[in-house]
Amino acid sequence: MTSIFHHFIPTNDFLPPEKIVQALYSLYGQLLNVEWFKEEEGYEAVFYHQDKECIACFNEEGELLVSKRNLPLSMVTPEVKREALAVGELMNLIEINRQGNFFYEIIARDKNLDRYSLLLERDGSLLEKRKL
Amino acid sequence: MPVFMGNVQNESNARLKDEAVIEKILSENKPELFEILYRRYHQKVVDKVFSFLKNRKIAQEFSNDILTKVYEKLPGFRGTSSFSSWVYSITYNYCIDYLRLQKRLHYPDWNKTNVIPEIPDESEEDLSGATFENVMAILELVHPEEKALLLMKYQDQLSLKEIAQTLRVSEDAVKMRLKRARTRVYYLYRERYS
Repeated sequence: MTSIFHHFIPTNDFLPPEKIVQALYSLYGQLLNVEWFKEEEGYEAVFYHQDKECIACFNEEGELLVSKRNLPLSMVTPEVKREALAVGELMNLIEINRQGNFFYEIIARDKNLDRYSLLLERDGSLLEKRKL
Repeated sequence: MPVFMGNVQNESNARLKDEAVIEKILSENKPELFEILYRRYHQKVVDKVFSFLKNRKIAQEFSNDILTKVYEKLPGFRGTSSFSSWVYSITYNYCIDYLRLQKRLHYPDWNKTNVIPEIPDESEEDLSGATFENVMAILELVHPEEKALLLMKYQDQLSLKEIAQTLRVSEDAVKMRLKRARTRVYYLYRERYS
């Protein structure tokens, strides 16, 4: 019988093909609470690695397309921080690794509490800014 | 919102599904039929607002404001999710915005002082003894934004896109915060009840 707990917070039992699962574990080693989702481009895993929430996206062949980590705001680089603070207070920081190229997705809110999603390069170059 | 005359609740109207009522309101220009939706959802919205703000008077006031907003936005309802999910997403948005404006919500600060000391392995937790009351009690211990995330995703089954729009964060932030919210609930449950 399903626990009342799982009635409120259900478990996700979806699993991709074995080679995709293997690809994830060979990249990350020890990880926790992996949830898999089928996406248009392939498969996406959301999990914990080294106490951080992570996302890894694989194509149908098991090749890593992109990985993301949710970082504490204190881990923002000075260049990225400077650009983000020009918009407002930092509210969220995600590191994106696209085949060795690093980007940062930041949520910042201005003094009117309007919120923006910013995409920046490691050197602080702003690639995208959109109001949320 | 139209003034309700109390005469639209006839038997055939009462049997209409939400989407059919909306169709009549919009295509047949019958704003008075909104009363049907109002009666169906008013108490549910009051209860949802109360669960966040813990104030009956404010919950009543806000519910009227929220349902007025629902009426005004009705032409924009595209039916990609159920009407109930759409109403609840507007409800969550209203509550979260209110709390943010009151500066009673600052998720990054709260997270800094509420670090999960140890990430529990969900597959190893014994949850067979969980009761409705203790699951509800745990939901009261998490940050309101995490509670809203869990309810939107698992109770109201909103899409990630809808949740992102409601909380005004990115979809990736929703996925990661949802993960954290789940983990926190598991951790708190274990600490309190296991």
